[in-house]
Amino acid sequence: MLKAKQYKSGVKPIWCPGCGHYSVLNAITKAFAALEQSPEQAVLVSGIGCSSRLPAYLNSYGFHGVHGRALPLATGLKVARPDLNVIALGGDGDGFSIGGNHFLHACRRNVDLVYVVMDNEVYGMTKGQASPTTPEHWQHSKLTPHGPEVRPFQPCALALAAGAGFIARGHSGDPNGLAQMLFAAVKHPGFAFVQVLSQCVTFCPEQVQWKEQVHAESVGTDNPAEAAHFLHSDDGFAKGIFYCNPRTPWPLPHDSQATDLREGFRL
Amino acid sequence: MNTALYEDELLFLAHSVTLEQEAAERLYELADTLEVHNNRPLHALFLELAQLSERHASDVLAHCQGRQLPALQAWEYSWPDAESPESFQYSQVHYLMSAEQALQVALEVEQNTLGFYSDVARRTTQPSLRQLAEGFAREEAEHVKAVQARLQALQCPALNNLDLDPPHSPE
Repeated sequence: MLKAKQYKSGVKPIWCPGCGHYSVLNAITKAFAALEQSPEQAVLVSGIGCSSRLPAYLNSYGFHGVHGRALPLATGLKVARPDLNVIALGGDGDGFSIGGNHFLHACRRNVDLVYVVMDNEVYGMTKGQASPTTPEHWQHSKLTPHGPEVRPFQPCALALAAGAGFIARGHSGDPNGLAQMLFAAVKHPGFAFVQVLSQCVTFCPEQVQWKEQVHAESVGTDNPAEAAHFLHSDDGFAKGIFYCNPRTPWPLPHDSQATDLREGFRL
Repeated sequence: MNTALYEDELLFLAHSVTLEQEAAERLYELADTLEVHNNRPLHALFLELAQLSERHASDVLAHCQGRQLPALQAWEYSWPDAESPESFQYSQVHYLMSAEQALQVALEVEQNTLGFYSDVARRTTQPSLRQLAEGFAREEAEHVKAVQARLQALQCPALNNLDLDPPHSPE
C-alpha cells in the first residue's frame, strides 16, 4: 500500500505559490492511496492551461493533450482500455469554453471516467483574462474593462441537464474532503463530474475569501428534479456531492462484436 | 472534533504523526515552488522550516516505536479545521510575499498546533496521553518562541496583517 506522497513524480510544479491546484494534486494522491491502486492503473488526461499541467506531477500515466480536448482523449482511452482508471483534468477555460461541447456530450455519453475541473474563473496561464465562469462584473482584465458582462457558465446545472450521473463540487481549501469526493467519483460507475473551486491568488486575489464563502451541503440526491431545484438556487459556493444516480456506462454490452459486423458486410 | 482523540493514545499518535509529516511535506512543496519562481531568500527560509518540521516528525515517530497506529484515510482524521493544524492553507501564500509574511504564516501554524496539543492535554482523562500531549505542546511552544524571535529580528513594524501584493497584470 502506497502513501499519498508516493504517487507524486518528483517534478517540481511551476504553479504560483498560493495556487489552489496544489491542493487538488494532493487530494488526488490521497484518493489514490485510499483506492490502494498502483500508479500504473491510472491515466490522467488533460488539455491546456495551468491546471492541465497536473499529470506531469504524478507518477501515473499521463497525456497532456490539446486545448479543450481532454474529454475526447479520455473517452477514447477508456473505451480502448476499460481496465484503466481514467481521470480527465483541466480548467474552466479549457473545459467550458473551447471544450464546452465535449463536456456536454461526455455527460450525455456516460463513459466510466472522472472529469475534474479546477475552476478559478480565469485564464491564468495567459495572464488573467475572463473565462466562461468569470463573474459578470469582474473588472481585473483590460480586455474586459467593464467585466465580461455576461452571466457565468453554471457547470453543475449544465452537467445535470446533459445527463451526468455524478455531480459534485469541492474546494481547494479542503483537500481531505476533496479526496473523499474524488474517491467516490472514481467508484461511481459512469461519468463523474467534479468541479473544484481552486483559487488563483495571482490574478484573482479576491478568491482568498472563498474559504469564508464555501459551505457544505448534504444534498446527495438521486432525484434529478431535486438536484435541479438545488442547483438553480445554488450560490456557487456550496460543496458536496449534489447528485448521484448511476446508470450503465457507455459503451453498452452487446451480443455481436465488431468482428461479426465485418463478416456481415463482407462482399 | 472526535472525542475518541482525547482518550485513545494510538489515535492521538496517528494524528500527531500525520500532522507533522503533512506540515513538512507542505513546507518542502512551497520551498520547491519558491525555488522554481527564483525567490531564493524565501526558498531558503521555507527549506529550513521544512527540515525543522521533518526532524520534529521523526521525534514524534520515535514515540510510536513498536506500536501499531490505526490506518486512517485522509478524511477520517479529526482536525479542528479542514486540514491538520500545522499545514498552512495554500491561499495564505503568494509569489510576492515577504519574509515577514512568510514568518507570520509559520507563526500562525505553530500557534494552531500548540493549541491542538494543549487542547488534547486539557481534555483527556488518560494520564499517559496527557503527559504525551503536554510534551508535544512544550515543543510547539518552543517553536512559537523561535519564530517570534525571527520575526522580531526582522524589526518589522506591522506584523498583524498579511497584506498580499496586488496581482501582476502585464497585459
